[in-house]
Amino acid sequence: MSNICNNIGCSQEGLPEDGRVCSAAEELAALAQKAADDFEEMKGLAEAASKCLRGGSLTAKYALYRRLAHFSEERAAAGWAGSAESFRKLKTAAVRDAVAAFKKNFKAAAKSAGMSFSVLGTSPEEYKVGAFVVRPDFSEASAEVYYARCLLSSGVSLVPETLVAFLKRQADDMDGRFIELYGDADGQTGEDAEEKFRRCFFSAVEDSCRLMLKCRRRPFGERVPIHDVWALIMASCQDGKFAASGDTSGYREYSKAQMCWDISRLKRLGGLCRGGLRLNLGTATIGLTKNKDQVFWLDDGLGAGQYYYSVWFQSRG
Amino acid sequence: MTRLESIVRVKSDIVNNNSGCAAELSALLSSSEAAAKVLRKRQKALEPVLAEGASALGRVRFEAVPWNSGDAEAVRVLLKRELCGCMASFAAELAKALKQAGLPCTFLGTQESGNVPEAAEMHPEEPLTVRSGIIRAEADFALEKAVLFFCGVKCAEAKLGSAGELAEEIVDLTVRFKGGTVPADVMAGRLVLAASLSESAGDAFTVGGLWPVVHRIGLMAGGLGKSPSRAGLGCYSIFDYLAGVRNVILSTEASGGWVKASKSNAAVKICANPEDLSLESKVELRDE
Repeated sequence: MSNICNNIGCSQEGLPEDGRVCSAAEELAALAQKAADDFEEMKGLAEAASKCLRGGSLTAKYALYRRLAHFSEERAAAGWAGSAESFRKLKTAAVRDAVAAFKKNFKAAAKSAGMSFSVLGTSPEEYKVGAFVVRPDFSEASAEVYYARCLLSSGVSLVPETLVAFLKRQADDMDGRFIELYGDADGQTGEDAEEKFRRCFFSAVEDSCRLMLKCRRRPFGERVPIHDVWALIMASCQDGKFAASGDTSGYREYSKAQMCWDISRLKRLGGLCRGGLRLNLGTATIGLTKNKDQVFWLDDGLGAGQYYYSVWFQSRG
Repeated sequence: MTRLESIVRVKSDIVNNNSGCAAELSALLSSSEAAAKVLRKRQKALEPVLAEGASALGRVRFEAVPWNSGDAEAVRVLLKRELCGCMASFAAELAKALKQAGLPCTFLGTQESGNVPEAAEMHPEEPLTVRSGIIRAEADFALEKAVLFFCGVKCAEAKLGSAGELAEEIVDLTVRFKGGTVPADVMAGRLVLAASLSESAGDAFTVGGLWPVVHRIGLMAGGLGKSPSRAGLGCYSIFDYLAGVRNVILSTEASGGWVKASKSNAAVKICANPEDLSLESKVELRDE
């Protein structure tokens, strides 16, 4: 049990305000000791019975009989500390306390890192920290991290500070990922990173839509599945060898989660209008959301979100 | 004994000073005991250079070895003769193997006829270039590698083995690229589409210039849209594209060079014959 506490960052030193976790763990440890003592006593009684039956005096036999009767009565009692039920109850209480302590510490760590924190569910535990959803597994002392309902990482340490640092790093990586992969041949001097992202990503989506609509002989402005745009942007994010000959040996991943991140970021940065065009996002119908591969979950920035299926451009003229 | 083994043997002969051209070299310097000593000393100096492998033979910088210029030239001539003999014999074997596989074989850069070159026509430091149908192969003895090209684009590279192995590789690639999987009119349609999206000014389109857009069209048609992944990205390469363009050329032999594009009012003409197709070949478009 003390392992549970240590693995999720609830050591005694790290939990000055939460004595409950430690007391539960200590209680459980004491119970284990008691059970061990009980076992030793039982062994002693069995040995004594063995000797007594082989030729002990009547007094000794009577004393043994009384000890055995007392031992049996004690073990049969409902509240006997050594029963499996008592162990289970204490263990559940200890885990519950550890979870409560983790939640408290995790929330504090997220707040101090400037990230929003909310509890999405309790069974199983699920938290939303910043844009990410964290699903801890207390028995493994690790967590899974999701973005846009896509698994980003598993086996992340459950120590609150480490977990929050991981999420911060993940957010920074995802912010820079598109430009890192896509490059920026038309780079303009003095342009900040956000403007560069808005310009390049908007242009990548527009080019993809134009190509898809040309291929389908449809006019520019009609809807294009985000899935197709994602595929074409993924192709644009590959290295020079891929561009020159289609060689995928230097494959660079542009994940679905990253696509969702970039669309949400463009929206958040106010980059949906550019050069007389407005990029619109089409929500997915209930029927379409049945096929999760084809739809994209976009955060609304208010703790909720929605599935989207298509994009289309509209002239702002 | 393979050609490469022959080359290795030459190296070994020089190092061990026991036969072949090394014997001739020894004769050159055996006029005095002192000269023989010098030879042994200098051979030792040459060893690390030769130890780089047979590939180094054609490029040994004899001036770096403390021999006089006459000695160096004598060795160089011997080596050149041996290497050119190896290359000529390799070329003859390659021509024979390709002929057996039913493929044409033309040697480039040696003589106009394209026949198997003689040893005297060879240059040890230049690769032996052979064209067989749609594949061009360069056997580089100095670097011990064979590079194969389809329509001028490198499509394979292998360690230079025997002539038979190179011929097999040429046959495999010929089969792979011979027929494009995309029908000529569909390919023409893609070229028209790419031209309409291309940023190049006017009508000056080339096969290479249209590739980036056709690449994306090919990827989406090939299933990238269904599964955006590494495997999906590999579904359409430049060789599929060139095979398709070659298909367009082959299909136009009866129609004066123009192919009507599928689902379009435009027609396409590739200004090249199937053997000379390259990324620089011009693409012409016209309305039907």
